[in-house]
Amino acid sequence: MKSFYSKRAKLVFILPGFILFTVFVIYSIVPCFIMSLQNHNGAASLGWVGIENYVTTLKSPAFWAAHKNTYWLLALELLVGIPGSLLLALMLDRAGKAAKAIYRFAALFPIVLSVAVVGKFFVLGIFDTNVGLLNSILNSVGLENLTRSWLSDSKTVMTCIAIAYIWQYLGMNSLLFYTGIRTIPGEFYEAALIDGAGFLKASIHITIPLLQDVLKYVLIGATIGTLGMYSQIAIMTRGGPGRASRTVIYEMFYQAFKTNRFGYGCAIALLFLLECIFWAFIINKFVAREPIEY
Amino acid sequence: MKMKMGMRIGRVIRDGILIIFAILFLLPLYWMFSLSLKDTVQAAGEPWAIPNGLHFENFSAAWQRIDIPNLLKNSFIYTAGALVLCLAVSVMIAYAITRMRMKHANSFRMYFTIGMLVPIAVMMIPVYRLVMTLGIKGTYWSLILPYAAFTMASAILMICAFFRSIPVEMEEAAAIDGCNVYRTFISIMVPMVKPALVTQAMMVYITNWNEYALASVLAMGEDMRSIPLALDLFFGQFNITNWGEVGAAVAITSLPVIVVFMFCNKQIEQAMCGSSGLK
Repeated sequence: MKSFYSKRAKLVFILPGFILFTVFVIYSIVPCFIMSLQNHNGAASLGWVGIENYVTTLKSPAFWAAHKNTYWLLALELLVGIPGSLLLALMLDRAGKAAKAIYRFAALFPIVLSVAVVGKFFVLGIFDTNVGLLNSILNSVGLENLTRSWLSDSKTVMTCIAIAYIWQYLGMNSLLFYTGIRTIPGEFYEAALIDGAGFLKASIHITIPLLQDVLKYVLIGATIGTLGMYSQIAIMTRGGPGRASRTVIYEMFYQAFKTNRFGYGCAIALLFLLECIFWAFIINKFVAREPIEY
Repeated sequence: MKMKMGMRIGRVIRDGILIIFAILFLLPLYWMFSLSLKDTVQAAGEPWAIPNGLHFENFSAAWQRIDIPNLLKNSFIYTAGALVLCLAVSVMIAYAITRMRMKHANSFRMYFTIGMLVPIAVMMIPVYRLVMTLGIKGTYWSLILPYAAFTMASAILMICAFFRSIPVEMEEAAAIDGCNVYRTFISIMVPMVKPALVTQAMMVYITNWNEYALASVLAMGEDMRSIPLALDLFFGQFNITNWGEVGAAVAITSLPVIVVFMFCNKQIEQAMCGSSGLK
């Protein structure tokens, strides 16, 4: 068999993909790093500036304001979105046949829809000041004083974007959890039921601890996805009102593509890239460190 | 008896909540189709009301305003091109990693896993810059190549898992019969991982069909736009006075995914959950 897998065959199989991946995902960071050390307008370098772009970035209030927005999104996704989808998955596991079928049919619809459609659906259909569903409902139940221009109010805009984002991935995450739940042997529940445990108790003590692998997968996916969120912002608010809904990535995009400060944008990109890898590493390290034995 | 009653109420509540969420997930469907059939006044004033007529002229108006066949063609080329490229290189790499007894097989796998930890939007500037340097801006390759590169990570991981479940004897038999490694790979191994390929194809297709960040900086040329980008620009266009038209544009361009969603619902769910490697 050794000669069967010749050196040449190995190269033929590995090389095309290796080059594609390395050039676009790994190597492309190198020119970006070089640009981050320059005063660069996207077309040409206007001179070397050393680490000045990094210093400016770290001192810039806009950079930290964008961080606040990004982490507010992340907090809502991790504290509302993920627990919400876990709860839906637990309910799905105990649901009647019809409800189960209907839910499983609908749950993935938000992610097959284009983000442009989802964005506009929320802007025009839900959060619109005059005809949006949210204000219409508030008006019809007599809570007129709660109505507002959700997306042009700097206090509410990030939360509204978070709602749209959570809505889009809630169903998918719940089905991922549900897949994990179904791999847990049924005897565990029977034992718990005999001991008199209800839905809540069985879930907390049996289901959730056994879901660590799925949890890790969903957490990493949700964290990386939320940190890297750009499309929803670009489509729903373009960072507005003012700068109120700029996330770190949007700030990066804005600096590079709207004001032509590519060197500065590259500095933001690289700092933020390190941040994303750091969080993925933390989750990988600390969630489900030891596999639980059945 | 009391216990049973409680359980039944619990189930009704649970089922009710699930169905409410199912309706919430499907809301855009009603929104876009009802909007697309309304006249100007109703579309602007009552987007959620039941249409007061069937104003199909919205569709022809939208059709005239944006070049929908061209958009569909562009999106198809970007997505299908990236899909074919991604799967072809991924299946070869996965085969090499799992079967070819390479020294650093595991390091290779780890290397490609990095792709899963990098959000594609962070790479907007690096990829933009690279595409400029390679001189492929304005061509279909400007999106096909990065899309394929960024979806490789998950494809490789999943196909690797699949290869591992295939017994080595299959290849040994082929080798004894005198097949070389390329022949064995194409006529025996690839057909055996077909389920994994179909699953990944669906995932990669959905991801890239809806990708917006890279498209928004690389495919701005009028003829080169993908659907998400064109829709976004359409919404922001000068003074659109008829929201019914907007609804029609959204409905037409979403129709391909809606149809696929309706008929391949089970497969999409399996793909989604299977690609996580949880099954």
